[in-house]
Amino acid sequence: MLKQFQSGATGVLRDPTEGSTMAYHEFYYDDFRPRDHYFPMWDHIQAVGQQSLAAKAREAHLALHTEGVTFRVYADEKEGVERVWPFDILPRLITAAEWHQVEAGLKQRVRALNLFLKDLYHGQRILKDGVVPAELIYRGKGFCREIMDVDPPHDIYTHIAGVDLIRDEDGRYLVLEDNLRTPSGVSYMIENRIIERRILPELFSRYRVRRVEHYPEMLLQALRSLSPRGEESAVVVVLTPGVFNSAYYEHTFLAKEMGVELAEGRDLVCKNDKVFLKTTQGLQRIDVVYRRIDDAYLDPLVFRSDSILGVPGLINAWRAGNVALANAPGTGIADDKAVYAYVPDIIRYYLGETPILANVPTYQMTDHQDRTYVLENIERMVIKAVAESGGYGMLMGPASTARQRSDFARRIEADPRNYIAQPVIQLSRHVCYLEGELESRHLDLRPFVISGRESQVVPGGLTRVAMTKGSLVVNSSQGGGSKDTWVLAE
Amino acid sequence: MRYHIERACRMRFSTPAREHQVQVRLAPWDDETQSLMRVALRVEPKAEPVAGYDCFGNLAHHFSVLGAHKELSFSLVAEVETRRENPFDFDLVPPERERAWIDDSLRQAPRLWDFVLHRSPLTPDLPDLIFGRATPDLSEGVPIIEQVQSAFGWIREALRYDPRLEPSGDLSSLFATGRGSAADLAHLMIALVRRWKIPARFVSGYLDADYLDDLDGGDTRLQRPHYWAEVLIPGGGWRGFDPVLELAADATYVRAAVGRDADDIQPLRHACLGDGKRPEMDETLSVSRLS
Repeated sequence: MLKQFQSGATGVLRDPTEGSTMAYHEFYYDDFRPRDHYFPMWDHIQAVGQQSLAAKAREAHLALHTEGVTFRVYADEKEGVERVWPFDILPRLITAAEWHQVEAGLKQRVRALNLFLKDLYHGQRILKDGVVPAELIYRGKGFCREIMDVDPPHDIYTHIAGVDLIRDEDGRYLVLEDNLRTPSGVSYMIENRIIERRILPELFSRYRVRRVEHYPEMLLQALRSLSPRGEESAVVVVLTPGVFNSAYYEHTFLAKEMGVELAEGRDLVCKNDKVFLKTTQGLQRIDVVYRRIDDAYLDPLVFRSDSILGVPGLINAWRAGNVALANAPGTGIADDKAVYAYVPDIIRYYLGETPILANVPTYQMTDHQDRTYVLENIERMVIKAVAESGGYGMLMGPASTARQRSDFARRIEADPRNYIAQPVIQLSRHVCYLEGELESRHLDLRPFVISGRESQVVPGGLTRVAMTKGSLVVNSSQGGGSKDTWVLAE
Repeated sequence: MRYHIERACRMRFSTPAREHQVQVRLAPWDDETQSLMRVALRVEPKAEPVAGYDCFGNLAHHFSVLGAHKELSFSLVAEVETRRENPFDFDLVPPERERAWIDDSLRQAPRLWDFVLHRSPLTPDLPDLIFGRATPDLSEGVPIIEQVQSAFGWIREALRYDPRLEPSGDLSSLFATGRGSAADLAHLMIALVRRWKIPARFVSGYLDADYLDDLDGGDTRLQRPHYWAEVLIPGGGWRGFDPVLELAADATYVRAAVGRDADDIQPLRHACLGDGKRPEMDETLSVSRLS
């Protein structure tokens, strides 16, 4: 049955296109006057003029190119293409009041999801109480039974969460996806800021913008707080799958900025349930692994035995409490898109609070009534594979061909648990400077929540932009672009 | 009954292996049906094995040998006392209440869903017909335990036990030949019971050697691990069923590991560096009754 987020309300079917014709504009009021907080920017754009903006855009591209800020886009299954990070020079602004609500909502959500994960991998109270169907969890690809009854430090599973937010037609922030496994994008958030400050210093000085550049410090502090040997002596590494991974740039960036080693699986070895880095001076004990390798490849002794990316014995060392893993294995079940629909219930169950941030209404394909409705209206729906991310395994109904729709309909019928559907939400729009013109494009926002001893949200995030006119697909892996995000101080 | 079990394995590599991580699941269970009196794992080259329980409650040992070695051997010695003399020593739940009993068990212990929902090449969804014979459905009004025992005959028709066969990685592929190993027969029973939406799990373990002697012609004391299925029987909990011998498991069956299928409980998993191809393996097993 359709899971709807609004406080307490579940199970109400509604026309998915209802009210979706007019996207919220971040920059303008409905009468095309700039919103109050955008007025200084509008003033600046008018003052500097077209030629200056064009020069700034070229300068930004050149700087990103020179500094090697790149992203790998997979055009097909095999070959990846390295691209300069696509960046629009006009920043997106978020007022202090808006951010206050977003920050509170994110903290609430991630706190509840960590409690959910702790419960799922221990007593399973929420399943016994029937709040989330046990069958849904045990059919989920992200459920990692191998880690049952393990106690991670501070009972935290998802130390780094990247929660995708959109704004609906009324400008209300909605959660589109919880990314709780190895979310990427934070390095681009920082690079965007560095570039923006350099090329638009005059505009920057007209606002009081909150910092994001200290994210690596925040992350390192949180990672060190997980150390089994205490924070003072904590040795942290970033574990990467290697140079062919689409987020390799980010792995190198974070290791460099935190001042820790970047390691591949073969650089680490386990001995007597402890993890060591191989160095020219011998083995160095590791306390915290910030791993950017998927669960399945993390340890061939426990997960996929053919993995050559991981570290054999790592899970036993983690289980023994001799090393911390961030994020913990098994978080994928909590960002499963079918479980997502239950997050408002999960918040109410563990925290006894009303969800601050709402969900997008979601149709469960395991529900006969929902499935029938979705298949009859598939051209108006977004269909998503539940365990995919990065825009893969998705059908955007209004932009799809008849063949794509029938292909997805077949896939849904064959494996309903693997899909959910959502009505098409017109993501909010923002002004972008594209090829000499000011154009409006749809965008979303991925803020990052760090959970160590305490939970923190970096004031900003990665604003992703659908660069094609009218497109609602913002994923970087699908060719989306980005903007700097300025959270304004009080 | 009390058994002494020795299980040994020797791996030989063509070129030296390094950074060897090993995990074994060989030790018998310790629960209300059998007590593990003694267990020890010896490893050569020297290592420090650590014991722990996996997510299914199996006792696993792991250890690491980092230095270069061309040979690695380990042996597990255990003594275990089994107690289930009579596999039917429980009060049956009336047939009309059995489904409610199963549903209630799933509600109270959601972990049981693993043993209902899991599908894999080893325990696939079964076709309605195998060899032209209908795959049995669950009948109302007949105790589940009776239907499980009746399934022995259907399994025998679908897959004939062949002691020379290695366990298959794809159960469906066996339907053409009609022959299978003990593990294959156990997987077929599990797939059938799960079709009925009743929890069923795979068991590896050890069997009193006399039985296997009878099965294999009685000409050898060569022993090997045995495999069977366990089904959650209303009123009785997990009960073992051996489709090879067509018996309910009693105190002559020693359980070592349980899982959704054989992949979950591979007795040996290891990873190492080195240029050697797959190692040559020598494995031996000895199960002797002490009392």
